[in-house]
Amino acid sequence: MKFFFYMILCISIVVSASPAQVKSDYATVQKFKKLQSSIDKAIEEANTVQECAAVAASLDELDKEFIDDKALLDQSLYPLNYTKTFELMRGRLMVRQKDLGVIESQMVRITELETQVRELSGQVEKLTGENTALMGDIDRLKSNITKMGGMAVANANMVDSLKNVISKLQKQFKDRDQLIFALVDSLFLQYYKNVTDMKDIEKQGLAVKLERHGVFGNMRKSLEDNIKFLETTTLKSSDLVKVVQQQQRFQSQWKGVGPKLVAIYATGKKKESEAAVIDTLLGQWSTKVDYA
Amino acid sequence: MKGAIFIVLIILLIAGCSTLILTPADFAWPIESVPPVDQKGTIEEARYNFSVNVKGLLFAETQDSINVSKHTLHVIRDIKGYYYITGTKFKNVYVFEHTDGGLKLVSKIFIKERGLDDPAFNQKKSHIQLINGNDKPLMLNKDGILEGGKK
Repeated sequence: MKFFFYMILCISIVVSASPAQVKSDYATVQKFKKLQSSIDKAIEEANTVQECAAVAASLDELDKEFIDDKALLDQSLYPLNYTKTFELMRGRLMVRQKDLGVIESQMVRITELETQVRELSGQVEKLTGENTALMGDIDRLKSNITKMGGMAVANANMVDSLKNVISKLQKQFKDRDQLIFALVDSLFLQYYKNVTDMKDIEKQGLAVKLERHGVFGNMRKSLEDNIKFLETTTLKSSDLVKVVQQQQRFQSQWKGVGPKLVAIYATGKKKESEAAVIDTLLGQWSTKVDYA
Repeated sequence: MKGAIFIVLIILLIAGCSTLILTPADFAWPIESVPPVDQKGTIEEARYNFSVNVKGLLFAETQDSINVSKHTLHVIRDIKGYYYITGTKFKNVYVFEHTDGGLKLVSKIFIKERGLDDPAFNQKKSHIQLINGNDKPLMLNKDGILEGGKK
């Protein structure tokens, strides 16, 4: 057992000590220029305050991503430099906002919400990856416990590990569900109005954002994972209570958000059917919870 | 008297022959240029108003100076003014110096028998860094690979 532990430790050290791949400066500059050009295009094409806010958030993201390469970009963005390039882009955005009659305070709030949406989306993605790995750990631990059935000490350790993984996974499922609904809320909040009062252009803009952040896909994935979790694990009654609460919370939040999402895609049959899939999966989850 | 005149003449001669050198100078390009080779075998870098015909180089590396326009080269200039040129599938990095109306080969640095898959130069001021995908980066100067730069 110790041998395996040291072997894993050595592998981890070797992996962490190996140098990260060296970047090409040229590739970095080209990547920056490509993103800069797509933002310039987005500024020209922005027609609503939400689109302007999305551009502002993209500018912040670009700055955050490339600030470590500022010295390189200062020399490479000739005849401009890094700071001047951002000043120009922000200036162009400001002109566009004025053309559209965007109120600055409204813009600030919507940009904050847009930044929040992007952060939440990143967190959802990260948690989804971690959850998949944890579910793999559960399968592996269960199989090892079965194999080592006769070895009491090893078995006890593995059962403890399994319990820890299950508990962590359950918490992460709950966190991800909350993040998904928080993301949807932040998206709708940017529009300050009900779906029925939205112009078509606003609905289209919101639909694009919902699509970009994979809202339906994330909800479906969340429900499928929750169902699989119940199928593959045996829970204590205290854990089961938490699952029931989580399922009820998801159901009530979906009740509030679902019709709004469907209304955004008024003519999109595909999205209506996606909403129906969510309803079906929620039903399946509820049945599994009842049987557990 | 004659001796004094002779000494003055010698001094004037030496002063007239001595080369004026301006230092320090920095010729370094901050990033490499990745120009495509055109039909005539020429590469251009607009920012530095630099252009050169590379048919001879392509022939030296590939033994083909006809199908030149399929190549894209990687070019960078170091702090001392030497030009480093290579390309995908190249086995070597070629180092040139500026000469009257052209570039003169200073050294040919052998890198890899199978050729470079994804080469790129980075400017490091003290040297030129050559990276090639996941290979260990190499430190180059005009004379070759710097010690410790290659496993």
